[in-house]
Amino acid sequence: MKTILLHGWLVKVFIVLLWVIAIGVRITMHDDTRENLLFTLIAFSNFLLYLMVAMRLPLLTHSKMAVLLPGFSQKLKQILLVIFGVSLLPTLLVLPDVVTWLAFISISILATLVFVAMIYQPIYQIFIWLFILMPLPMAMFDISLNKEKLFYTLAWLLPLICWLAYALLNKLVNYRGNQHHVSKMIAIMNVSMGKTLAVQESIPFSDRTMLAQWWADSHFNYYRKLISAATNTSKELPNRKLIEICCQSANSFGANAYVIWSLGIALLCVLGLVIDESYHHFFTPMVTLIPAMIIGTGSITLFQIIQGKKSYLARIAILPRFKQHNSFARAFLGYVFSNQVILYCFIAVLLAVTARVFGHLNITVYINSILILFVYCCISISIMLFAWRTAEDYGNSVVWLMIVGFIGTIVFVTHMASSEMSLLILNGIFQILLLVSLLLMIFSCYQYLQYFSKK
Amino acid sequence: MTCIVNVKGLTKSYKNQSVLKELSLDVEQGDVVGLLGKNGAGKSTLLKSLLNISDIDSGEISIFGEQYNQLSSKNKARIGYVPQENDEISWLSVKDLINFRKQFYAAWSDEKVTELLSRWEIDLTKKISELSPGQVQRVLIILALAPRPELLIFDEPAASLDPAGRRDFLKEILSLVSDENITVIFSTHITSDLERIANKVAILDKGQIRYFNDLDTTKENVVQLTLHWQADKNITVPYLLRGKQFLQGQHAIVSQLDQAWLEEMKEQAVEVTINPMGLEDIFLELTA
Repeated sequence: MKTILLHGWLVKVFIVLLWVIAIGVRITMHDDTRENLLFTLIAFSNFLLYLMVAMRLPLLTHSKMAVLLPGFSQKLKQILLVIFGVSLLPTLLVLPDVVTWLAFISISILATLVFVAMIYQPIYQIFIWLFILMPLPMAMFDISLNKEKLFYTLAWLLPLICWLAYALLNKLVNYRGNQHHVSKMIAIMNVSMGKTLAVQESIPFSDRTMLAQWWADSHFNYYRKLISAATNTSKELPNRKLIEICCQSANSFGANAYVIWSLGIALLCVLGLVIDESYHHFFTPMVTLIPAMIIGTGSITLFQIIQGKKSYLARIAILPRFKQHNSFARAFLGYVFSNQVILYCFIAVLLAVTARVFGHLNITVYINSILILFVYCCISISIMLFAWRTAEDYGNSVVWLMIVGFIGTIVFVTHMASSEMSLLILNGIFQILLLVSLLLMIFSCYQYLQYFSKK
Repeated sequence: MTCIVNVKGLTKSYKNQSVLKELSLDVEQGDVVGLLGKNGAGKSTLLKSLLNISDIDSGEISIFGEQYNQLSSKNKARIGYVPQENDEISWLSVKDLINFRKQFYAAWSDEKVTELLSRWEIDLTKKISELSPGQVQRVLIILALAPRPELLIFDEPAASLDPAGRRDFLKEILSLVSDENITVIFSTHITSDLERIANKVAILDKGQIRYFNDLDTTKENVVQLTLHWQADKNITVPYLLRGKQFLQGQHAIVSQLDQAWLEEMKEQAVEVTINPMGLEDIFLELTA
C-alpha cells in the first residue's frame, strides 16, 4: 500500500530535497529574517506530499482489494497515519516556537483534508480558489488577521481539527462512492505523466459532463464546417489546415478557449477598475496564475495531443497530398509555430492589459517577462520537435522537463517582479541564453525537416 | 508477373531488440499474401516499414519499382492501408471523415464510396466514436479503397471483430479483391482467416520469413515425417523446413515429398510415417 501511495521517484526526490534545504535554512538561521522562507519550504514540501498521496488514494479505496482483503481499511488507515506522522517531522524545525509548530500541524491536517476531498469530489476545488481570493474580502471588510493571531487560533483549534480529521479518515478508508469520477482519476494515475491526456481523450463523449461536451463540440464544429465548406465548394484546404484538423482534441486550446479566457480577464479587469487601487495587490496571485495556466494548457497539451497522434500523423504524411519534398514537415512546422505564436502573443497582450490595470508589473518587468517567455517558448518547441521525430517514446520526460522549465520561469518572473532588475536584453548572460535557445529551435526545425526528407 | 513489392535484407530493431532480421520478400501483382505470425513476430512493423510509416535500419524496399521512401505522388495514390488500430479522427462524422480524407488525393471515387456505404449500411451522420468496431473497420476500408488502390495493405483486419463479423468481413474483402484484381498483403495470426482469402502464405517468425509459398501448394505438399531407424544413421531429409532428432529417429517438416528419397529410405530400412498437416499445424510447428 505504501509503495502505491508514494509511487514516483521524481516527486519523492523533490520533496526530500526541499526538506534538506529547509534543514539547511534552519541550521544557518540566526534570526527571524529567513523565517518565511523556512515556513514556505516546509509547507510546500508537505503539500506536495499530501497531494501525491491524495491522488493515489483512489487506487486503494476503490480497488477490488479493498472489498476482498480482510482488514484492508484498518491497514490503510494505519499507513496513512504513518505517512502523515513522517510528514510532520520537518515541522519540528520551527521549534522551539510551540504555537507555530501546533499551527503547522493544524495547517497540514486541513490541507490534507482539502486535497483528499477535491480528489474524490471535484467541487471541493473551490477551497483552493477561496484561499487565493480570501485576502480580498478580508481587506474589503477590514478583517485584520495577522500571522501571530492566525497561528495562535490554529494552535488552539488543533484538538478539534484532529477529531474532525480522525472521523473523516474512518469514513475515507471505507469510502467507495463517486465511482464515475474516481474511475477517471484512477485511469489518469495509472499512466505516466506523458500519457495523462491520452487517458482523458479515451473517455467516451457521452460520459463527459454537459459542459465538457458543449465545449468540445463547439471547438470541433469549426473544423467540421471547414471540411463541409471545402467539400461544397470543391476547394482544397491548405496542408497546414489539414494537419491542424488532424491535431485537434477535446482538450485543444482553440478559439472558444481564447474567447472564454478573454472574457474572464476582461471581467477581472473591470473589477480591478471598479474597486479601490489599494486592493489591487490581492489580485496579483490570480493574474500571475492565469497566464501560467494558459501556457500549461496551450503548450503542454499541444505536445501531448501530437505525441498521442504520432502514428496517425505518420500515416497521413505518406498520403499523395504531400507530394513535394518535405511538404508534410513544412506544413506541420507551420501549424506548430502558428499555434504557439498565437498563444504567446495572447499571453503578452493579457499580461500587458492586467499589468496596466493592476500595476503588478512595471514596463521593465513586463519586457523581461516577455523575453523569458520567448526563451521558454523556443526551448519547449525544440524539445517537442525532438520528441516528435524520434521513434522512442520520450513523452514522459518531455512533459516533466516542460513542467520544471515552466515552474522555473514562473519563479524567475515572480522574483524579478519583486526585485529591481534592469532590462534583461542588456544582460550578457541573457543574450547568450536567448541566442542559444533560438539556435536550438532552428536546429530542431532543421533536424525535423531532415528527418522528413526521407518520407 | 509484375513484382509489386520487393524487399531485400530488411533489418529493423527497436530499443536494441531486433524486430526484423535481413528479411526478404517478393509480392507479385494479383497476389493475396497472408502474413502469418505470432503476436510480436514483427508483422505490423514489416507492414509499416513497407509504407515508410516506420523507419528501418537497413535493407531495400521497392514498391511499384520505386524506392519506398521516394515514392512519386502517383504511386502513393496506388496504395491503400488499413491499420490495426483505429486512430482516425473520432469526433468527425463518417461523411466529414470521408470528405476530409478526400482532400489528400487527386483522384477519388465517390461512386465506390457510395456503393460501399450502402452495401455495408453505414450511417453517414454518425461520428466515428459512435460506430461499432466492425463498422469502424469498414469505414477504414472504404477510406483505403476510395482512391482505387492497386496495392492494399491490411494490418490484422479482422482482429476487432467477432467470429461471425469476421467471416462476413473476409467474404467482402475477397469479393472486392476478385472484382478489382488488387494486390493484397494482410497480416493475421488466425490461420482460418488466411485460408479463406489468401492465395499465398508467408510465415514470419523471429523477424524473418520462415516460409513463403502458394497456399494450395503449401496445404498439398507440406507434411510432417516421422523417421525411425535401428542402427546409428545420419540422414539428410530433402526440402527440410524444420527437424528434430530423437533417439533412433527424427521428426521433420518438409515443404514437399521427394519420392526418390522415400524409396531410398525404404531400401535402408528406415521407417517413414507421413502425416498430413493443416495450415495451423504448419504455422505452429514452424514457429515453435
